[in-house]
Amino acid sequence: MTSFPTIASAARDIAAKRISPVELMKDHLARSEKLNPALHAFIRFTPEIALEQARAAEARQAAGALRGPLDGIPIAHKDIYETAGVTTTGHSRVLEHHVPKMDSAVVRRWREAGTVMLGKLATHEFAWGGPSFDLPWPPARNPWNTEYFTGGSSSGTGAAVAAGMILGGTGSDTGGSIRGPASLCGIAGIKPSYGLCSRTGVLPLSQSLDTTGPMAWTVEDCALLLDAMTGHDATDPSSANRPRPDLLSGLNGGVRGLRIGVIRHFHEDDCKVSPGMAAGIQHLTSTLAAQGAEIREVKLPPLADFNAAGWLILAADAYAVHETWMREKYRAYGEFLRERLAVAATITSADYLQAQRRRRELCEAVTAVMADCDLLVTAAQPGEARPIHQMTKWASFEVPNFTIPFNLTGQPALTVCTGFGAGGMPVGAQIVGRAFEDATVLRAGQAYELAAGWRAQRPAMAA
Amino acid sequence: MAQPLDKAHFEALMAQAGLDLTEAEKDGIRAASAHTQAAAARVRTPREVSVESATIFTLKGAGA
Repeated sequence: MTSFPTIASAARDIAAKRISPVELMKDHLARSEKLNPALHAFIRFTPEIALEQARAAEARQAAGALRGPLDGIPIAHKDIYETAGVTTTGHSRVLEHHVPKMDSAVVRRWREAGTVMLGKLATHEFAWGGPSFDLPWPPARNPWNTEYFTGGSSSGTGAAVAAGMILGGTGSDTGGSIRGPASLCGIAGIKPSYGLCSRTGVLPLSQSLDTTGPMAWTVEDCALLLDAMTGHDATDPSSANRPRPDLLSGLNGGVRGLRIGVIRHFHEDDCKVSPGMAAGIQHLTSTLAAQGAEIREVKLPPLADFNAAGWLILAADAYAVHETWMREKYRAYGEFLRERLAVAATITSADYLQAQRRRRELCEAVTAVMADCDLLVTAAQPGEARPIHQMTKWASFEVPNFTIPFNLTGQPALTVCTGFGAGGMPVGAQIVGRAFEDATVLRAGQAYELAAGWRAQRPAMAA
Repeated sequence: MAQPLDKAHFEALMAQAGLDLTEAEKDGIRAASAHTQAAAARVRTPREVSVESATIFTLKGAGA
């Protein structure tokens, strides 16, 4: 029987000198190399860096000088996070040979916390174009069924965490790119409050929506990883200049007295979710109610309104990022991304400004609802993962998106696994908090996860 | 569902963007422009004539 440590359990074992960071790294690198031909979660391994970092962690372990709970923990980074001396491509031919001189801010912070980088992870091209089969690397596959989609764009991170290749990894979330793969791969992932984590050195998609964040098997592990990501960074204009939040001391504080608003019309009327997803949301709310949370129904503007504003802003911002390369290197992009960006070139300045104006109204509507609620709950996806070859070029525009509302508002939003639906595929729901109340979101996710017991089940291929 | 951009308008936008597309690509992308047209219509909700857009910014004076 394969054992699957979490970050929290591995940290305890490293601190107690029951396990060696070098052996932990070797076990996970070997597992990753064994599973990667089927999962394509990694596009590049960095075994020399991993060995050097693991040996350094082991030396600190021997000296009684561990840096904290991430010291010696095997992780990997989505390939839009720049890594000094290690090719960072955005999973694109456009940057196939791009070798950054510096680490991105988050990579540096995790490195300084002692993490051990096993490699770089697959993403949808520049975090929007996928799943694509015409890029230099194939798309990641879902470890619960390798014929199925992982969600995107943090596809490699979702697959690698679920399969136990790594204990945690970086994702990024512009319209749901952490929370979508977390739902479809059955893991935990948090899009932190906008401004909580630096984006410096991360290839951009939409600067007013982009958020960096962690993905891991458990909510507790997400909290540990996020704790090492936060803090003001003067090099990122979006970085909030406020004290680092305490994400850990109240994690096991329970939900008694929390007021939780269920946005029922999102997942029952605006976009009716699958029976499995609906059952998961019901299980989440009934479990939290049984622990003393107060559950109520809330009403927001239609999900389609959030999608309209969100996609116009995301697409226009993305086109602005890629405008020059689109003109000069159009055929170097994969078909999905270049054609989505070509559609984005039809968005006018008036469309964009109207979308930003509407965004402010939508933010105000959510703020008003949250005056009486501590948290919101809705689906993270319309349902379970679908076969990867059924994913279409225009899916971003065609399928309503449950996650982009909280990119528009900047609120923290966590996906937590809420069970298994059709075909035994996992489902996950979102828990959303007020801006900079990430700790409350994590506390509710932790309370549910510990009570639900879904963390005992791993994909069969990983065993 | 909104209509896609008309062909002349679409081709002008692609030329402005400097994108050299095949006829098949033009057809597919132009059809997909119906999605952005629908979104553009949806965000144009009724508003006061003097309403601020969301692109104002606040100056912080010395010591702020």
